[in-house]
Amino acid sequence: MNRVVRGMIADVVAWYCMPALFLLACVSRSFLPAEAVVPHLRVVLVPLLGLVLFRLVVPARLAAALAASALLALMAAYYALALIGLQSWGRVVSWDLIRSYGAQAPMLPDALDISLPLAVAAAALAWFALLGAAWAYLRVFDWTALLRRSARPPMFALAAGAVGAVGAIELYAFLAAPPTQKSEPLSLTLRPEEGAWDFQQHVIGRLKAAQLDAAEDEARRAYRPAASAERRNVFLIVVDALRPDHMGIYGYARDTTPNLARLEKAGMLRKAGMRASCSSSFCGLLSIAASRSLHEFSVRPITLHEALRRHGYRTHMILSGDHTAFYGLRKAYGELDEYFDARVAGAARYMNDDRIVLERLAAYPRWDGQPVMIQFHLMAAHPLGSREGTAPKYAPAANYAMRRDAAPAGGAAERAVNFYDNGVLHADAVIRGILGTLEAKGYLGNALVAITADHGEALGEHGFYQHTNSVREEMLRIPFVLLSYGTRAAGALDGATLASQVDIAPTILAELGMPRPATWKGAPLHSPVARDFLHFQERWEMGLFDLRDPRNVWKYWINVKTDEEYAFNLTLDPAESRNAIGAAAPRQKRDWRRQVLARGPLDARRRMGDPDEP
Amino acid sequence: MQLGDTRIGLDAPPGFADTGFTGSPRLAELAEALTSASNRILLFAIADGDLRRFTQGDPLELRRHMMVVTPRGLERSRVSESEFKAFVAESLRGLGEAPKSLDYPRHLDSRPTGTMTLLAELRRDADVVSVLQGTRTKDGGMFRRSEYMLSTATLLLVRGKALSLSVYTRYKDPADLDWIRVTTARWVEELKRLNPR
Repeated sequence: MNRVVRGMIADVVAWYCMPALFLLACVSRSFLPAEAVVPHLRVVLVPLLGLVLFRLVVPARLAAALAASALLALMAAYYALALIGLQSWGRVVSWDLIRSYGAQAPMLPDALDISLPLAVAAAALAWFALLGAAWAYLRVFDWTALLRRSARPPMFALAAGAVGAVGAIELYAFLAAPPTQKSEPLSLTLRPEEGAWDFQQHVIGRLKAAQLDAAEDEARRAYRPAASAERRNVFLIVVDALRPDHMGIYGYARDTTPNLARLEKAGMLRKAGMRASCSSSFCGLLSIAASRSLHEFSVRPITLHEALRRHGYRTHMILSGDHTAFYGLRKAYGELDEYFDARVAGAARYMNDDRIVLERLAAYPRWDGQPVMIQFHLMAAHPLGSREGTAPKYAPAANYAMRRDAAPAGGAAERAVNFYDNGVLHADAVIRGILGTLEAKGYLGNALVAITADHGEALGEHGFYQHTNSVREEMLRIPFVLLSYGTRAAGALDGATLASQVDIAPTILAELGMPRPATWKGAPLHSPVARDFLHFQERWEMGLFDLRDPRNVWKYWINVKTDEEYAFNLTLDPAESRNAIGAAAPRQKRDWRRQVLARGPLDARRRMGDPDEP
Repeated sequence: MQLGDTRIGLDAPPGFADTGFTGSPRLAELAEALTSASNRILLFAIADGDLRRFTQGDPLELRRHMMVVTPRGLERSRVSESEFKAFVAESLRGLGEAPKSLDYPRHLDSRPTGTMTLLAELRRDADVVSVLQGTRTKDGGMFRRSEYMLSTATLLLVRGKALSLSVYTRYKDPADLDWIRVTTARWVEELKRLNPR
């Protein structure tokens, strides 16, 4: 009997190795709260009990090894995906996203610059290794055969029944009440909407959300469309992860935006530099649409699209990427007359290929005279985006999608920069394609085109690649370009000491002579913007730009998990090369902290022991 | 709506929204898929609730919808009563005889799935001919009922133009049958009122 007990203990230890490593990685890096541990360990018990039952019922060792290796492979694959999701965009990967990318599995290695045969071979090898390990393990530790031999049949049946019953009860408990409130990862994969507003610190308490939404509804009722507004067509092009300092028109040494440069030469283009509210897509896109930083988000904000609809516009979206599956992003966009993304397009193309956008737009009818607002989303500059259709100009180039928090070494940064610049070049070509089609179909007779980004991108600076992992300048800096068709471009966009993503929607409405909803936090950039602070946050890092002295713009942030603080005088040190927090006066630090606490998301306030927050 | 040199007044019945106002290519493609390429779609209306769900990003359920089309070949010409009669005869040719029984589900069960079947003639005047049709869209199994779709096809001569009005509803119970009859009759009268001779 001792061998049976020892075998059981060995099973538990072996089985829980992988979940333990996963949970350790998640909790130690603050991806998941510690309260997620126990619920997840309970969930993982279900397949273990299933496997034990299988071994009790089916005596063949090969079958048991096959079943064990299949389950372990599934578990490993899931953990890998969950970690990628948590690391890349701060959320556990959702079942919708798994299905979405799963359907495009053959195209994905190409987009990531990985050899497909190599990836398949590596996966097969890993599975064979698991199979071998399971076989070897069962040879030494399998206790089910021993039990089968030693126990009387009724006792054996009773044991098998007990294992099955406990497994069934655990499974039922999980399905009936998935522990999403405790951030158990599998439950969030299956029900991502229940955790959507909690991850990335988009934390809005129910009470706060109700208050904000009541204010939104009040503003909605009070909003009066302007009879004298100029109903020019509006096109908003959001290029995912586009940073201005890698665009030729912003003074970059490389001519990565030849098409936009031509338009600038023709006097049609105005531009401004600005900061995103965060370094992730979800809140960046909502900051653009609803003119507010993420600590001011509510459930039903008035969006740019809604304001334009009130002025008689049709509002359409044509998006590269699967926004439907991205944690309810489609729902967050609100009411639209037409919505088209890679999910709607089907699997004919890789989902992050901007030809989806070009092909859809090509199928549009000629403009029929009713004002229209179309928002485009391009993935050309994103590391997961396809660059098919534009010959790469800069070499050697390598995709850095698998690289996140690593100091550049061995020319990695140069290859990443070349890869990124090829993407910007491709984005410029796609924009040219969009404008060409719109012009040919009569939409640009009298129109306003805005080009911007949801967030920036790190290319090895400060030891980071990609986005969502910091609030460094390279991840927050975004471009804002206005193109005027049919009307002479007037009014420089230089009203703010530091422009913000939340100013985009008010600036567009001001261009059209339309009033701005009362709850919007941004301001038009044509006239002076009075603003002392500009807030931002990404995960645990939250902070502000201190604009009280325009000759000395400071940036301060605190990591609320580690309590590390950072301060940079951006006027003197725009590259954030030297943390000046030690040199800051204690009063100044207190003031910044207080500002961050006063305006920051509730979750962070709670963590910092804010007495106002229960 | 301008058809050749004639202006035709078109309006969706209460509770339905003309999808043309959205300018949505997806809805336009859906409408095109529901009618022959030889027709020009003048109006494609869906229930207000369905349109709202669509604009909010939910899948389009399309339980009830309606459409007005005109044959592209007759779009610009003025149609006389005799030409209209010929158009009606051509359009309704091959529909067969309406069943005597009013148990339409049973009748549709006897027909192959997907086959449009004439169920009743609702109206026949010189300028309006209206028929009720039905089809079994999905076979029921041992535990589920079959699913049916009812539609009315109304051919209408207004201001010298031949229009074809179609109203569709999923059939769940006799209330759907009453609804499609009443809605079609009222809609036809409303369009005639909007377009006096």
